[in-house]
Amino acid sequence: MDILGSLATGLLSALTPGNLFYVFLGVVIGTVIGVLPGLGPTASIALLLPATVGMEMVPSLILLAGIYYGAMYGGSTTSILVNIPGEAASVITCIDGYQMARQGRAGAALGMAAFGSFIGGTLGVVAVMLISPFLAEAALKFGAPEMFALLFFAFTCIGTLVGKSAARGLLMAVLGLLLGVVGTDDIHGVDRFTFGTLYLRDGIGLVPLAMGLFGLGEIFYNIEQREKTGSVLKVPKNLFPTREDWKRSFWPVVRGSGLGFGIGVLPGGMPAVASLMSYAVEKRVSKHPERFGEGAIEGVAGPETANNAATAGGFVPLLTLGIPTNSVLALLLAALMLHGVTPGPLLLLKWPHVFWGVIASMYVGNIMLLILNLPLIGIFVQLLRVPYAILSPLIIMFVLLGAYALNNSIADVFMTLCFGVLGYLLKRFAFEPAPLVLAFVLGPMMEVNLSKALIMFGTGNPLYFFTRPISGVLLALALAVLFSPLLRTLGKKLSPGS
Amino acid sequence: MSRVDRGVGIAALLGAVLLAAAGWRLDPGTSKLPGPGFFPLLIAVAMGALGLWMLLRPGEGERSALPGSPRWKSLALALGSILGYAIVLQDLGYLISTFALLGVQLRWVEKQGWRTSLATAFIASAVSLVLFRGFLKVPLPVGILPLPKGW
Repeated sequence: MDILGSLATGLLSALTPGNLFYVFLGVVIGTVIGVLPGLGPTASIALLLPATVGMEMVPSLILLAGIYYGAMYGGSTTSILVNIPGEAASVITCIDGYQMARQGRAGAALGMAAFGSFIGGTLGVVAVMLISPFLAEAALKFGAPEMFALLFFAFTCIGTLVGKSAARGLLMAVLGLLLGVVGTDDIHGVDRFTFGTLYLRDGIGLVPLAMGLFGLGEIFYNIEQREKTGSVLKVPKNLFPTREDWKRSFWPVVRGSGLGFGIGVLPGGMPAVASLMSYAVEKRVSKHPERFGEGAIEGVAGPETANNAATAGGFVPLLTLGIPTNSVLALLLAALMLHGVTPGPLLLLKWPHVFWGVIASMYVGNIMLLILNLPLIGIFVQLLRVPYAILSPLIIMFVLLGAYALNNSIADVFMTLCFGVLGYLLKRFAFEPAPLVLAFVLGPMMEVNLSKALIMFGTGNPLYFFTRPISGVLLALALAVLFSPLLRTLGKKLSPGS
Repeated sequence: MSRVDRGVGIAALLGAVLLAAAGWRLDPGTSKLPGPGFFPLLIAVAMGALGLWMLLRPGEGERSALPGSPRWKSLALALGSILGYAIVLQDLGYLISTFALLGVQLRWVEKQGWRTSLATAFIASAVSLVLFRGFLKVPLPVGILPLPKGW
């Protein structure tokens, strides 16, 4: 079936009353999560994951994906009106968005953020639809050595590109690998690092890990470092940008869409990275870079477009290769697996209704978000008037409830608490937890493919991986990514001026 | 190099040694036929190398201590109350444990008034019980408080 025919089938599925309801529910929950500081999409999806187990596969994925891209829309609202990012991808919007609001141009900033998000998100979905079938077909030719090389490349990108320091990022990723080997070894059936406990034989669960690191960790950090929040600026009635605003935002939106999608496809290319890069590019190409930081609409349009395009881009490697590029997509991978679907090149062949249903729902969801965000922004902003002191204990309650409901087990509650403490410590000392979660998910796949490759080809020589063209190129790229920060560090040390 | 980097670097090196020993005990096998300890051993090598990198690299000025006055007591209370919650949840039941947890969090961690704390704790624990046990049929622990039939 051609792409348009498949999309039409997907649209028919997404437009059924039941699925439309889940798209709506997903984008509303996502917007609320995006608006509220302190609860990001990772913790929220982890929280809802157990509840979706009993649902049918397509509606549950539509709901979870809606939360993810809905959060990207909602995050800009708090950045612009309160100068506090609702989630990480909107940090950069605070700079010019808040300045615009202070100058009485909150309407234009909110409107352009919504339109930019819509354009970036929609173009991103179009690109996912066009690229994915070809990538999936190419990936069908991958054997165990190629899969291992691809996963290793993803691992190095995640470790080195996420966060400020490659050494810290890679260390987090290695810790994630270590946590991933806990439990009974799939190949040999041997218990590893279970310390004799029955609970750990099944391995550490992704949901307690994600909810602890991103949910409780964030709350603990906020309890310790409570900062006074600014007052919420008024939402103006007119949210439509002027003609001049559109003229100035046109190229930032175009560039943001392309850049965001490109970054989103890469392992480690989180929406937050895309928005940051877009801001840097816009400032560099601008004829008036001095206006950035003073309320330049380009500083809102570019990043907000880029983070939504990156959100869509992340679905390409997830759905075609089974590789999540950020922690939210790692949870979506878990959701797919909970329903017995193995994401990867076979997804399009075996479960085309899942792929096209989710893609079509993203078109519908983006339109819903635009409709919701413009007239209803005032209602969402009211949520910011709920004091964080009330909200924070309620979030703790839901995290613990979600942890227990997963397997009706107190051990999961303890595990979530342990990862909450770890998440707090990581945030306290500026370590990025995302590489840990991603490596935790990729690690077992890496081990299985490495073992398969070594056993099947039985050469015992690691250089064998370099003799196969695809795995050779991927490993060479991975080594280049891995050693570039090390060489930079050495260069800095050896340079005469250092 | 920051103090945090040095501490983490040393911890990573120690962890690598322990992990390598554990991997060896699990049987690493050979590169032709890897055993269950093979991958942990590779992780140990990577961890050791990164520990060294952390120790040798020049400081990049990352944040190692945060500004402001940390609210250590509130944090300890929040952690302690969650730990206590996990311990008593099965015996006392969801409603009482959650009410107590929220009460402590609101009154002493978040410094809310008695009335707000008790009312919010009661409403939130009761509504979540009705929602999750009553409607979603999640078997939350009943504990010492009797629940209506069919719940």
